[in-house]
Amino acid sequence: MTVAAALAVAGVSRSFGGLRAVEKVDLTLEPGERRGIIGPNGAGKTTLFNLIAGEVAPTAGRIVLFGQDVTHLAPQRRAALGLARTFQINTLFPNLTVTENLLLAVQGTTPTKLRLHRPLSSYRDLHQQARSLLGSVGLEGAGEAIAKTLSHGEQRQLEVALALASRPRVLLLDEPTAGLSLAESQRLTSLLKRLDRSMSLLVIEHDMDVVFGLAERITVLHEGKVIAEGDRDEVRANALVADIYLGTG
Amino acid sequence: MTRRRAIPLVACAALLLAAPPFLPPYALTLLTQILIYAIFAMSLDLLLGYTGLASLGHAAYFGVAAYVVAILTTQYHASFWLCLCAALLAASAVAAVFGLIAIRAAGVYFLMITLALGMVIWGLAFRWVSLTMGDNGISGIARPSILPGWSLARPVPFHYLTLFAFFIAFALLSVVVRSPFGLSLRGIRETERRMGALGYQVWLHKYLAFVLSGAFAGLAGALWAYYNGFVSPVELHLLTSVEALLMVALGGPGTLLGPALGAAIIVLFKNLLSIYTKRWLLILGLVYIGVIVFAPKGIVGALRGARR
Repeated sequence: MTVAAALAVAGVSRSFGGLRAVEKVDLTLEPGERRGIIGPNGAGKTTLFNLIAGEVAPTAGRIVLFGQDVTHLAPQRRAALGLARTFQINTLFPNLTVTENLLLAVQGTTPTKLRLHRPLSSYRDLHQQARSLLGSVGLEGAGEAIAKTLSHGEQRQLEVALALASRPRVLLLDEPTAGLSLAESQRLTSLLKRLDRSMSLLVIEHDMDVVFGLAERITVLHEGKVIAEGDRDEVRANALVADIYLGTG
Repeated sequence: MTRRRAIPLVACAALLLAAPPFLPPYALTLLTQILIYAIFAMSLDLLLGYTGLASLGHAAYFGVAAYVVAILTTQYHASFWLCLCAALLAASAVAAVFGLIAIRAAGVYFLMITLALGMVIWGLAFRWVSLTMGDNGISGIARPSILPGWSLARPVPFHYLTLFAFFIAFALLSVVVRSPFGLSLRGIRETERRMGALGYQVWLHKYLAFVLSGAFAGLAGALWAYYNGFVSPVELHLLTSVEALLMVALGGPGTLLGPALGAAIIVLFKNLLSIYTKRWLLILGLVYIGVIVFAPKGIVGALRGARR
């Protein structure tokens, strides 16, 4: 018996009415692994993330996080176990300041979030963590800005910072560089590359340069099914992938 | 809080403390009423402005507390402190039960469920005649003595009791909205979906806010019973809930001073304009539309926006 996988998805399916969005997907993520998920639009990538994060319940199959079956656990219970995610469309707290956004994320997996007899400003450690996150995603000096006034690129950085705040062991990134300029995309990718290797990463991405730069192994989804899995070269060489996805058929 | 904001606040508090003995009786009565409604409106704002839950049943907690005071004083001659504790407990208990039902819903469904639950309590007060005297209401609620021999029957001492309760409620709610829990509530208001992903048990936070809000509404209701000397199903009616919502929306949801200001405006409208015209609700409606169009964040929200 090897060390428990960080995340194991076994035979997971989800249908929406007659549409089989995700069908019998198996996926194992080792501790510290960087895995890319690619596939054309509608392949079921985001649904798979919603299943892993617990926002959508599977119609069949099991999801195991660090050896614990989490198939029926609510999202916040999975977050407490060390899972975090970003969203394809920015899911921030638009009318709060950047610092308040980060404080919400920092206190989310601590019991502090229920304290109501002391002002938040007296929790130095939370503020310290928020400041260090601000620095680590390159948003120094933006702490007092209202989140919705940030540029799209900065909001993408904040989106990642919120997910990093709980110091997750498994991080799901849903198209982190969507809508970014080349320079912004490169900056964010290099930030993601520098993340602690004790963390496992699962990245949905359309930008092939980003995926091949970041992930060692790649899973290809098509119409809800895994059609290929392997390292960069294997996936590049796979004729089926080339045919339906890379468009060189 | 910054010093620039603290100075007018302290000045207001000093004025509220110093003025009562010099006010004409009618003005003092109105001021007491404003303070009671201010507590009521601030309690609702914890739900509406901070958590983003629009409740149309807030009169239930206000009214239940008022009825508890009315019944305990007129039938059992209970002391002020006993009445106050019983009223707060009753209001919190009703909120704790209603919360279990209402928090499961969101948006307009939450609104409808709280409306329905509020009407249930109204119906009870209306029909349970042996306990509540039904439509006739309960009259003859004497002003309390807070200590033996220290009566609050006269307007000025009673006003100071109300003012003290207002300060306490304002201070406690200020601490809550600035606490980590308070930030959690604002996070839920902004983007509930993200809160789950960040590890929050969203339901629990909403529920605690709901019960806390009910308890403060109960404080207002208990004071109201003593102030008015008379409690009837009107206190529990939908209109009372709507009035509180208007106070919050008018003054500024998500601020504590806003709802207090909204309470002042609506109480003054209700009492002063109605002397001159029966159509004061029409004028209130116009003012409300004006605020929604020109200052959707309420009066205090607009003032803060202008200063930024």
